[in-house]
Amino acid sequence: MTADSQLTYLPERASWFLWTPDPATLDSGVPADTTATMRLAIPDGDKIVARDVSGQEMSLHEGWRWLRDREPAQTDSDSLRAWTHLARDPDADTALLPVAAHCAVAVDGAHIHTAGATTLHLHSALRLTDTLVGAGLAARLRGYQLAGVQWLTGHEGGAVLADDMGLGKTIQTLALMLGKSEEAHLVICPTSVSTNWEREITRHAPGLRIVGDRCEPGSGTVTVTTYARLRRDPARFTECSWGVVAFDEAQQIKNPRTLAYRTATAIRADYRLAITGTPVENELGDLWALGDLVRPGFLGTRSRFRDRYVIPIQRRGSTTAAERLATHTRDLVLRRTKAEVAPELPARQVIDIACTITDEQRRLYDRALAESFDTGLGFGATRRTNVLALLTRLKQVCNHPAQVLGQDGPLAKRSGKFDRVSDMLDETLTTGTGCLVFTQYTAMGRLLAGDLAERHGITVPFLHGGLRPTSRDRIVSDFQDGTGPSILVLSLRAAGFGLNLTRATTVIHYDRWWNPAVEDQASDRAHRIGQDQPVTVYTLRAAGTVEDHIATMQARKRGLADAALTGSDADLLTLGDDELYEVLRLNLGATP
Amino acid sequence: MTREFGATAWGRAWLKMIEPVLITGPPDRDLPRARALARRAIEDLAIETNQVTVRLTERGHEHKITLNIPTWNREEQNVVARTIGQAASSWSGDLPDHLVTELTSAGVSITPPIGEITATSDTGEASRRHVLAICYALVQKVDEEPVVAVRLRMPRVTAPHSGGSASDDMLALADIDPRTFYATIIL
Repeated sequence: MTADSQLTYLPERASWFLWTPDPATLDSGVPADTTATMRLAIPDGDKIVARDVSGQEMSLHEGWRWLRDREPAQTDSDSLRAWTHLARDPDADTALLPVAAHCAVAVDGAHIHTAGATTLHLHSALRLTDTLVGAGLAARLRGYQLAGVQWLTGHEGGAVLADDMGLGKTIQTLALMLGKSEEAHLVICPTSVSTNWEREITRHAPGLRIVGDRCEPGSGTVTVTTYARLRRDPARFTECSWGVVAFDEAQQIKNPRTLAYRTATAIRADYRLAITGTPVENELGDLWALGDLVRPGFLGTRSRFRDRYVIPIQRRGSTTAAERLATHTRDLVLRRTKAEVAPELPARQVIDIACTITDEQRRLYDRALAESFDTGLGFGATRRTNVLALLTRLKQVCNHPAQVLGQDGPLAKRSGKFDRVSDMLDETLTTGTGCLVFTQYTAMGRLLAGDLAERHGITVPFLHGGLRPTSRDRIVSDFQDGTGPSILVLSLRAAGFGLNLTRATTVIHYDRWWNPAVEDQASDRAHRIGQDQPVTVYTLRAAGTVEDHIATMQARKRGLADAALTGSDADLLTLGDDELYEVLRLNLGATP
Repeated sequence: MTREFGATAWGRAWLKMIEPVLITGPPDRDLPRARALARRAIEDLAIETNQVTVRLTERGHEHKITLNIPTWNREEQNVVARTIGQAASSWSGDLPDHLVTELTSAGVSITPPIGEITATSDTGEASRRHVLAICYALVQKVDEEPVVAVRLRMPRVTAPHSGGSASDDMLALADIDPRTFYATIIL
């Protein structure tokens, strides 16, 4: 390590940053995680300027352990020496810290945290981690997630959590709840994601106990319910008092005149959290609705907000009003983009989303099973044909009733996966994130593209095997150079090879294929050479259906060298009727 | 419906100064021209205690014009301080509309008479129309941030702050000494 290596604690990322005033001299004598670029306040001649500085980022705990274990050296810079000293003696005076030790530029771009505030942040992050582990958090929070939980906890009353899709809003919410483990918490979400919430709680926060929405909430419980149920039975939720109430996909209840919104405002809780990827979906008024839901009065009355912000900003482009709104919502809304936290994100992460099926899907699914098994599946080649036909029908039901019934619509509120993907696509459209949606079925691809055309008035191309090479090339180049829409729907098999679609940083697999290699190959359209952003791959599945089984099979196959050769639905063909039925039947309580 | 000028009582107080309710003479032809200039021709409006500075471009000529707004007298300042109290430190720069009525009935006018506002220009040219145009633009700024109406008429030292994010936990970049940036200072 060189003599002028500086160590800075970054409160807004809950991590350490090792850098040198002269980048050429930086070397790695430390267990640094990643090379990264951070915005620091550094001297330039006779003044201090905010500048992007490259260096190495270390996680909170790794850095802390390293500091405690290392021997201070004669050549240490003052910042490194001071942090080393503080790590060994927690009571040491923070006045030891030179500015270089706490010079991370705050979000407003004009301030840094004082030495005292930075040290408080650090100690509270260390304490919070211990608390969360003690309360039963099974996941390891990334630095920005830990900083996010700290931020949320520090904003009493409530907040809007508006991080980009894929950054872990759910896990931060669960951590917030675990931090108040003696209370009863409530999650209200769209029906399509309620199962996913339950699975995430079981997996990441075993310290929390899920109770059905008819059971009595108690200490350390989470009640997961839906907006539909909130509308049907408001008293059930407004009559008691909650610890944290989380409104997931909160943009869905942004209209203050609706019953759902009014009921939501009537729920009593110590902490009210609105979770959304699109705090401003169509217009600034949306932000007022979310803000007033979580912190009543904070943004003033609705009409005053309109007079002072919405009209000046939207009608006459007032930059002063926009800046003031940005400044003041910084205290209300926590929003980090994928790019901001990029060094901490893996280059490619896969997120599995379990979607709750609708009653209509459940009926169609059960009927398809009953019909096949009642008629009998037969033997030999006939059996093979019948089983494959049944599997196809079940997977179509999972996708959308309209697909299996050969309809064009209506599409909303009939399929858990479809409703979920609609929310996700709305979000990527708002943020302009490039997004690929893969499906195995041409009919489903058409439904997806058709729905986007209808709801957003955009023509989303559907890239499938039936296209001529010229049309196909044009779709690809329009997508890549940004002249086309930011979303592309693709058929899984037609799009597996040769395409370069690196504008996409989000990949959604609408349905599951037996062979993980096929899915991987499709995802690689986005994650390939030339991609400099982290790619997030979402795999959707209808919870409790054959898609759970496919996911389990995939997990088993993934990593096998010959997965590409053996992955298929062949193993189901070898099962007898009873075993096959057991695999395919609905199992809505399961949490694989 | 939100008014383009005078959406809040504070902005309306300024609007009344330039558009008197009782019209006694022939229509003032400068007013429509001034509104049009306020919409299109004014840029970089900056407010520094009792001064409002803008860049105004008319027929290809750019003027940098500063308006000097007279402050309240000592007695008026006391009334304002008493009436507004804590409201002025609200996070958003907003002030309740009813305070305008309270101040007016206590004999304090939100605005000075228009004749007491003086203008200076880098081109030596600042017509009545220009002054009116800047006042219209100011009405909108006051609508966005009513506390501006108070700041404009308070002397420098006592002018209340609009809400800001700076606190004891934060250090402004401008307040850091570059010479001791890397060094622990032993007191």
